[in-house]
Amino acid sequence: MGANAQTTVQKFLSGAVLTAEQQNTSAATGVPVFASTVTRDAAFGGANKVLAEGQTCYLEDANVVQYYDGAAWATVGPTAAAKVLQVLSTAKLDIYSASGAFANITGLSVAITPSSVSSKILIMASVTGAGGGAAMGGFKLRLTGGNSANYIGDAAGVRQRVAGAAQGGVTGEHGAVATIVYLDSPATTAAITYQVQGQGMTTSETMFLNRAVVDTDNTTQWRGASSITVMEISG
Amino acid sequence: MIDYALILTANYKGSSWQLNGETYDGLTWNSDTEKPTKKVLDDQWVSVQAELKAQKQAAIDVRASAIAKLAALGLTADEIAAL
Repeated sequence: MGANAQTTVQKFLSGAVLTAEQQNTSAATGVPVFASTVTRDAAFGGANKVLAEGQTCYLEDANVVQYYDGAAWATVGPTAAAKVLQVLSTAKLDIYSASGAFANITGLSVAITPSSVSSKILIMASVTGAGGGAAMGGFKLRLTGGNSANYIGDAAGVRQRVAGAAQGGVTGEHGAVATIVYLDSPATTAAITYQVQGQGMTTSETMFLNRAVVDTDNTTQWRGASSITVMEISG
Repeated sequence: MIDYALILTANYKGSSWQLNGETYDGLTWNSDTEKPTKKVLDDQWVSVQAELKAQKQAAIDVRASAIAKLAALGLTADEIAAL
């Protein structure tokens, strides 16, 4: 049985004597309020103070009730839910095409300034397009900004490591949508620009954004839209 | 409207470039080779269109030939369509 364990709930009658032990038990099993975990730990430190299983407290900065389980403090009930602190998005509605190595897709980027170093940034990019000029027909995508450049597949021989890819195009009217969803932990409050980079399936193939390879002006053809959206999530 | 991206794709394989929008003004040339002028590209548009049309017709012809050969082997139209 721990130091805070009780076998009865004291009821005082008229003329009864309140002992030091009874007062100490009352103080230890109440719900003391502290500004933070720092002041809490300081309050239970020092000589003649016993932090024992069953001790509870309330933390003002986090607005939570905690209990001590004999080894560590635990929060009562669910922890505070993560909150979306800000949402930013860029839509690219015009067409773009490029041939060669990976390059920034003009206009498919978004800048965000995290409000806290503990915030996470959820990045969502949707890219509509096609690839042409070679037999494969398709395009590949990468992200830059924060730690997002690390969001690529594992190394495997000489294969190109990318964040997303889609097959569609060659010489026809086909199109494809590639999406990238990545949760970044940039650990900064400085502005970050998340940028989508694109490339055809080979460096000699063209990536067509928001259009098919064949783009004749008739009702069977199409023009698409692409976007990048970022959400700051409280850490 | 002249499709500069298609012209570049067809006739400048291996070059590095970016085209923002649809007009020649949006063309950024990244290769070490000389950037083709608007007139040079414009002059290639008719032949690129003809080449694309020929490619499309060739694909149609190959498909028709394949269907005819399968039909000659006794496959019905439904069976061919299911392939």
